[in-house]
Amino acid sequence: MVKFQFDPTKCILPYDAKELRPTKCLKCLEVCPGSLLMFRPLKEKDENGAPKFFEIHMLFKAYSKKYCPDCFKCVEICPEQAIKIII
Amino acid sequence: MCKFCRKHAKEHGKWYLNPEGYTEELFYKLNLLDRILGRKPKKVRDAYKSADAAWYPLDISKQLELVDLASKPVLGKLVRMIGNHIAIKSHSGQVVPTEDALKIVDLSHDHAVYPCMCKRLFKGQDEYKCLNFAPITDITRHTPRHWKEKRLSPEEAKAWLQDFSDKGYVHAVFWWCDMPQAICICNCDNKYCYASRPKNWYDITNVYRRAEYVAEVDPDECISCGKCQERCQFGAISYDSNGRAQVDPRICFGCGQCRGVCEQNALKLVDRNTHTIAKKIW
Ligand code: SF4
Ligand code: SF4
Ligand code: SF4
Ligand code: SF4
Repeated sequence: MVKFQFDPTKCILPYDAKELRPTKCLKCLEVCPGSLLMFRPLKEKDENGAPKFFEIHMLFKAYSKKYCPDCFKCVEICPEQAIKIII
Repeated sequence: MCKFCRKHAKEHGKWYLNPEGYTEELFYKLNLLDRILGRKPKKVRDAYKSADAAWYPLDISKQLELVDLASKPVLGKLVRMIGNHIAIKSHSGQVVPTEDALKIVDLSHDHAVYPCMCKRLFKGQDEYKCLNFAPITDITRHTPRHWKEKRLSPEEAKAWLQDFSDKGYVHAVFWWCDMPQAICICNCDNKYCYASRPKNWYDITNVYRRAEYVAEVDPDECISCGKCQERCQFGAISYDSNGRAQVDPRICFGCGQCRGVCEQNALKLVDRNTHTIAKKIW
């Protein structure tokens, strides 16, 4: 199975209270041909109980073998070098 | 007739055409609110205040992660069995053609569209693709950070469904909590859908069941234009040695969206339940 590593110190995705989700960047989601990447909330909450920050996460990992080895688009597009894919 | 229709349709033919599935009585009988909140609400109205439709679905990744187990050689079979059981008791759906989706609008009330959670989480885009109805729309109206929603009249809801049909999105009716409580019609784009992918990739049937129909081509009418193949989100259409379109009943979901692009009217939906091959494939 492909290993997906995300560095939350390099990519910081704050909660946008108007849109009720992170709205910054998300370019990696846009380029992934298998739509394997998603955002999900980190533990820290604000005073209203909303998640403060989000991380990028890989799902359907069994399928990453099919998509990732010839791709690496998320790694290439990430302006913060926050993603590592280990085959 | 599929096993759900046998159990829940009564004289209405299909489980989702039974008006009982759209009543508030059934909704509360099935304890939906308790499940949303993860606790027993003292009073239903109190529960409205704390249900948070805006954030509740965000961290579904933990459940979705479990579907990977279905790809394991031995364990996979057991995981699929459990997954299929949980799917019936939670939030899953069945593909419906546009004509049935329109009937569901007539059976339900208090319509509102929400951004599709799949596209939101996997693309970071809010596209208004999920048509919800009461009592879900009643709950979201009462939540503190009520979900970004657009209210629609039944006529608007029908026009809006037709519009998605014209774009080739696949309609699917979803229950939440248990059969036969229907809560929404999604208009799915397979690439992002986190219901159809566990089904297509991991074979967890009940998460996203095929329609009660399957498509067939009249080869005498087909002029080999190729439009239906382009339209089919499931890759069910190929060509025979004469260049005529043919539908693989083992792949077809019966969504009927291929019909909309065929200028020859060469495609039609037939009953899956009486189709020699498709009747066993859901
Ligand atoms: S492309 Fe990089 S910086 Fe942008 S959201 Fe993805 S991980 Fe974060
Ligand atoms: S390598 Fe390609 S397929 Fe794999 S997660 Fe990144 S963008 Fe998606
Ligand atoms: S061939 Fe089947 S799955 Fe494909 S568009 Fe037609 S009805 Fe839908
Ligand atoms: S759209 Fe109609 S005419 Fe064109 S290939 Fe399909 S069945 Fe044949």
